[in-house]
Amino acid sequence: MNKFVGKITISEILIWAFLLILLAFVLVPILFMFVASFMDAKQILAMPFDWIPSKEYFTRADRTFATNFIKAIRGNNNNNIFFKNLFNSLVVALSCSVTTVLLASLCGYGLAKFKFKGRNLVFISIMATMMIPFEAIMIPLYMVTQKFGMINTYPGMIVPFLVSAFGVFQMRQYLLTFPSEYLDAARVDGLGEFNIYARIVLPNSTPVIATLSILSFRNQWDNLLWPLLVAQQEKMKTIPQYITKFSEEKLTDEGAMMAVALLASIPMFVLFFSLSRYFLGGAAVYESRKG
Amino acid sequence: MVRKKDSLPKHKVYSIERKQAKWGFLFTVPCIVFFAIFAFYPIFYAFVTSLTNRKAIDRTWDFVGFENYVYIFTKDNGGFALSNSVRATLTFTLGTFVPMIVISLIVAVFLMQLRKDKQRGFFQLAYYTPAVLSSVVAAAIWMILFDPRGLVNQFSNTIMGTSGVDYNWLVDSVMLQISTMLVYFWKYIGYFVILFITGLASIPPTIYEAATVDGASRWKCFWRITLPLLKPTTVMVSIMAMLQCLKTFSTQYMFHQGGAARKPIDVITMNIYFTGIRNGRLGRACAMSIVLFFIMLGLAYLQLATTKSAEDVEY
Amino acid sequence: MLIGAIFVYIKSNSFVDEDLVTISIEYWTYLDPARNELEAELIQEFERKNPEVKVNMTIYSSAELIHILPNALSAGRGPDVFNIQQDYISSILEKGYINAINCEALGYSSFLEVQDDYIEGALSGVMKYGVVYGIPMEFTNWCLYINKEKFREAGLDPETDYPKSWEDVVEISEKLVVREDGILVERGFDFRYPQYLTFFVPMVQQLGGSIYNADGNLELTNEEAWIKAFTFMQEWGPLHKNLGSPTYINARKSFLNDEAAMMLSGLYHIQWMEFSYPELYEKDDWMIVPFPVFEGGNEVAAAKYCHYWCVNRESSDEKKDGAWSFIGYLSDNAESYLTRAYKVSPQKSIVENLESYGIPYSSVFIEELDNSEFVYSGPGAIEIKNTIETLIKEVMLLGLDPEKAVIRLEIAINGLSNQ
Repeated sequence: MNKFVGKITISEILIWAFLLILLAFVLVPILFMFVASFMDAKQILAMPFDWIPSKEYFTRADRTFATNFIKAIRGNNNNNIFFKNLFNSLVVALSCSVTTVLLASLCGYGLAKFKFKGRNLVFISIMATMMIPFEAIMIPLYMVTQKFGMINTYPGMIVPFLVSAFGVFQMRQYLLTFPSEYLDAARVDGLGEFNIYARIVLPNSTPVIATLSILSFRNQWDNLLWPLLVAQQEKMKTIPQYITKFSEEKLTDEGAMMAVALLASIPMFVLFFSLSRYFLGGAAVYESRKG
Repeated sequence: MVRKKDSLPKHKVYSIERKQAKWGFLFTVPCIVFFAIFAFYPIFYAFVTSLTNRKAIDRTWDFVGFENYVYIFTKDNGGFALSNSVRATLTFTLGTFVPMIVISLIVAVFLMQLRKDKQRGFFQLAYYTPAVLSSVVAAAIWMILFDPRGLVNQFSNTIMGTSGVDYNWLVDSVMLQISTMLVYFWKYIGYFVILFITGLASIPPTIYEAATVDGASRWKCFWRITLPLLKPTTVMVSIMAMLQCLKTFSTQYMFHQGGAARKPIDVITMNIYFTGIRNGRLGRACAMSIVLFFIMLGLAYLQLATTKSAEDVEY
Repeated sequence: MLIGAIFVYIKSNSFVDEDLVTISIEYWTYLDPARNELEAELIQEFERKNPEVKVNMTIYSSAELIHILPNALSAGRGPDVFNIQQDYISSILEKGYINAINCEALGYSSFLEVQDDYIEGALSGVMKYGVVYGIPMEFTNWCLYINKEKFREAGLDPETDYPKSWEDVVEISEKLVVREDGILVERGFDFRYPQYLTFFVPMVQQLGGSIYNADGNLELTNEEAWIKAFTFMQEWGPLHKNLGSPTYINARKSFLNDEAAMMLSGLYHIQWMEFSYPELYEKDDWMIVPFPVFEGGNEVAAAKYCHYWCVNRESSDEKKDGAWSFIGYLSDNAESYLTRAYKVSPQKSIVENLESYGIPYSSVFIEELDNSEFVYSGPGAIEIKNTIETLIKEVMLLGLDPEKAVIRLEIAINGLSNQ
């Protein structure tokens, strides 16, 4: 019996050690970003690295704890374009997540709960687009966008991401399990098909909607490639572009760099920690494809 | 709730099914239109452009047949051959997704051993945190960490028991590739842990109980029960990871901007970007896009095939 | 934060309405804080004097502008006026997207008068078959900035020990570098990596090689010189002497941060120093010396390059006239460009009197001009620049054999000259 307990303890220790090492690996860079945004370039690259921002940094006359953050917001041009770019990111990410939810749920509902000719063809074609990598079509998309004069406009930034095949798939899988009795009851009550969708299906799909909208918000928040092509004017840029540009410019020091990284992450952190269950659920919904 | 009468004309003789079928189709129309315009049309357009000598700076262009394909498969494209990009992409993909799958599986199994749900929740949340950061932020942090004076090099020296060795994380072609893999691994490990946990959670505990009664050790349980039952999840997750790795761009792009040599990390997407956008060779870049499309399609076919067989497995 | 963002957005969108405006000109320029500020003021003055014209300035980072501009022009969506760096101009010029200068609208009576205003060669970068397609805004040549304190710390006397040759640069850098526990912490000198046409080609020219032959046609001449220059870079890089690397933090930034003792830059950097590192600037413990030359090599200084103002050929005639008179107005203010933004216009009146403006070390820059060629900006300039960048990175970081690098460069250059 004793032997048995001892075995558990050892394996448990090993498990904990493994998990904690991975935890350190995962969290150290994030922690680094936090502390480095309160440091100057010299301390950030000091050997050995000191995790506590030096007193010298705070006590120098020309600095406050927020110096790096002020630099990050002002940009090297002192034009405060940061806020405009942040706003752009929010506009694009929010629009995309709203339209994704609406279009994907509509389509997913149609595919899950109706039988019509060519339904399977529609479903398979939409799934097939998942296999078209965005990178493979970005140049034609760019040429089309340019032709329609949508360079440097919100529509140009949003339209290619109105809905995702993955979103349609998620919604369909979820709605397959939606009890058809509710829908039939509503029909008997004389509710129109669109109203059934808007008043019964949508309100009863909150978990999957939350997950889907968070995922598409995150994807657009993270999107660099497309804005790099279509948002060329400074006032139309998004946060990932702001960071890329900030790191390219000649006067940016590492402290300000980390400050801008931290600022850009705050909206996502807030979203993540307040809605973590849906974030973690996002993976679970994917798995639910097994039925 | 306000009820509204169905506004459809009732005198027409539609069967309920047909009326519903019409609605079902109507609901899918917006998406069909969208995907036709923003997925099928561009890939067709890409194919057509790949048959031309189009450049960004020119207004006129000619059809040149498969010249671009011949070019990208036989010429070195100014030092950045497609073959090198395929190599870089496949190296990155293999080097990233194999460790990712193995470690996330191990971690998921370990997390299931934890006694308290709260502990498991904490680890899940913490591991997932890097996925929340945008790739650009991730690359910005890691660029500093990979400096010869940075934490990674300091840590490497501690681990290797050396002192003052510059491990050339951004210089050496092998180290540079490892660096990009490390960043990607760091970012997505949490996501895959959660996928596996979901898979593990769906295995009925009664199976383990039965096995334990039969006197099977934990090790045996893992090999004989967990792993076979997890096969569908593993197959699906690994192919998904593989497809994602094939599309990597931002990490490599940031590293290149930071001064690293392009060749070792010139993944296909980066080559498309440089050839098409930076150098303005649209025809050539579109040909590469089509090649990438077929690589993805091949792997996607694999995914569909295996997922199908995976779905047949019953607990 | 969201509220703040919305507020800023609303604020930036509220502009004054103007009834008189009949011509609206779009001006694209690159990010350059002091100059952007000056130009914003000049635009206001220009609009006051010409109430029928409105100028809308859009600022891009310089790296982006050079990629966006050709695309926009070819799509027929280019701005009316823009500035562009010399080496990027030829592709646009070849395609006929820009207009020949309009002397009258610029405020000159004849082309000869324009030519007479500028130093020799200043217009050559925008000249095709004798026709001029742009007006130079500024020109830059690079010299070596030195942090004297770092020299003294290493036991050197900056006034006498400063490097004259590239061999000196290596030798002195070895003394200046600070390695903590073997890791490079401070550099003596490092190059300005992506700008190879500006510093690397002149280094090759010092050794007797070039990217064009005596007739001015593209050709890689004197392979030996190229091999020597590539080898020099390889020795410099992290695989050998480890005195610098393109992967390290930008040398100009490190110089301002007190982490590099020397760097290459133009006169304008004095102002940047003043702006971003006042401590270093005010300590007055820095100096500027000429571009080093290989021992026994030709006296070739870093290449000088211009930024030009150009006008879109597809804009309406009205807009073109407005655009040229706008350019004329800006170039009339060359003195403000110099005193406020440290931008040196290649106008004779500015260059010849540069020292009288009291900008420190301007004489060093002027003396270098005689030995300095304008950067190569003919056909294929960008392709050559990109190829050299690729090769230098591979030579320095991946250990590519310099001889192989030269062969690859030669193939690329031959390919371009055959086109």
